[in-house]
Amino acid sequence: MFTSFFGNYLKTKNVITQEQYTDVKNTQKTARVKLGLLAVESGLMTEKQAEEVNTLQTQMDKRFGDIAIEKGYLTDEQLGQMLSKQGDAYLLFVQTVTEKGILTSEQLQEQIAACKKDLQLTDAEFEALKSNDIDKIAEVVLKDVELSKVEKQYIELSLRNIVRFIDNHLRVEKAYKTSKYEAVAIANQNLIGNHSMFTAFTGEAEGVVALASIFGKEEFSKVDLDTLDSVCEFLNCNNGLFATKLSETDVDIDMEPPCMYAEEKEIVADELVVVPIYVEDKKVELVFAVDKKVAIN
Amino acid sequence: MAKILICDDSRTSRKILRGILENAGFEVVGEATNGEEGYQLYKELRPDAITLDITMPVLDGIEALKKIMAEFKDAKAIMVTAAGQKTKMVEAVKAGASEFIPKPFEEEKLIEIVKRVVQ
Repeated sequence: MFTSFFGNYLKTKNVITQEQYTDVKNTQKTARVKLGLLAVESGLMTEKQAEEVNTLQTQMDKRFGDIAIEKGYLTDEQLGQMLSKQGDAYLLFVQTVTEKGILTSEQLQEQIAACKKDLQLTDAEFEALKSNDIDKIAEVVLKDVELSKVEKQYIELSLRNIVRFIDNHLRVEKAYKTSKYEAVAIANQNLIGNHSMFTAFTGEAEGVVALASIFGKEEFSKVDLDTLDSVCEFLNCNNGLFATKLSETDVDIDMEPPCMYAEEKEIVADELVVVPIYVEDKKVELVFAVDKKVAIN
Repeated sequence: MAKILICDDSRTSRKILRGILENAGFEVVGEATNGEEGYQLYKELRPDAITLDITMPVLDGIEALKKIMAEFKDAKAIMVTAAGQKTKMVEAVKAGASEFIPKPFEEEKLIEIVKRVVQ
């Protein structure tokens, strides 16, 4: 998630190219963070000590961790902790862009500072984005929009389910409210009960196709009823899990059969919540309304 | 080879379900896209079991189950449910449902349930 977020920022600022972005993402799929970088970033070793161990590694057939322990730079316990962090998304990103010579460490730090300033992110919020924790990321993207408890719960649960069933590298942009939404196509399901909800996935055609293809385990190429059917199935599962969540607090809702619109439509309501989500870097939008009258024209 | 009828309004669900069942050696004798069609096909095909999605247009899974059970007391119906349909599940048990399959499908669990029902 961090790579999708920050990599995309660097791309839009023309700091890296689309090719470099794709290369970094692909490399990260199989890469692990090197222990030297982890030790320095964690403050357990100095850069000089890490370089010394790297040099010694070229002279003897021993692993970085074994040498660092022998030299007294790390304990067994610290090594264990670092090994468990080798999948750290932020550090993997740092390692990949620096090793590929795309940016130096200094340039990277400059860009992180610029990103925080441009997007008005506090240190704590940027740390949340670095964490790859979808709940923490949700806090950041929802901070500027006033949401009811149910609206917030619905977004958080939906994001968790997209990470779980669709793409664990998703990127989310700031949620917003609108009264009118122009859709290229709509996968919709209404919920009834203690709350009346309109829920839908829409967005750009290629995003809808990506979501449908991943969930339906089938290669769709365009937005048609079959593609939307797959998206509706995901929406149905998502809403079912949401109904379960609400039932824990004695709130009962039930799902109506999904509806599909494979042509351009306008969604109109007093207030719609829109959450832009990028699945495999393609945009889909979660559009919903709680206890509002919604019309599809 | 046990004969299974699939009744679900979602093409995606039908396709995934058919794939899992056929791979496990079951014969999928038909597909219905709503409860009424499911009831009609059940009468015609007399499968060993029918899978019934709960949320469907025209006639939902519970109503289709009631119609089938009223006519075929020994019918074996496996309800397909999304999470969060507890009330409907209770209703389905009262109407004679044999088992439940949760969505999204977990292959091993699904096969185990269908085998148990048709044995």
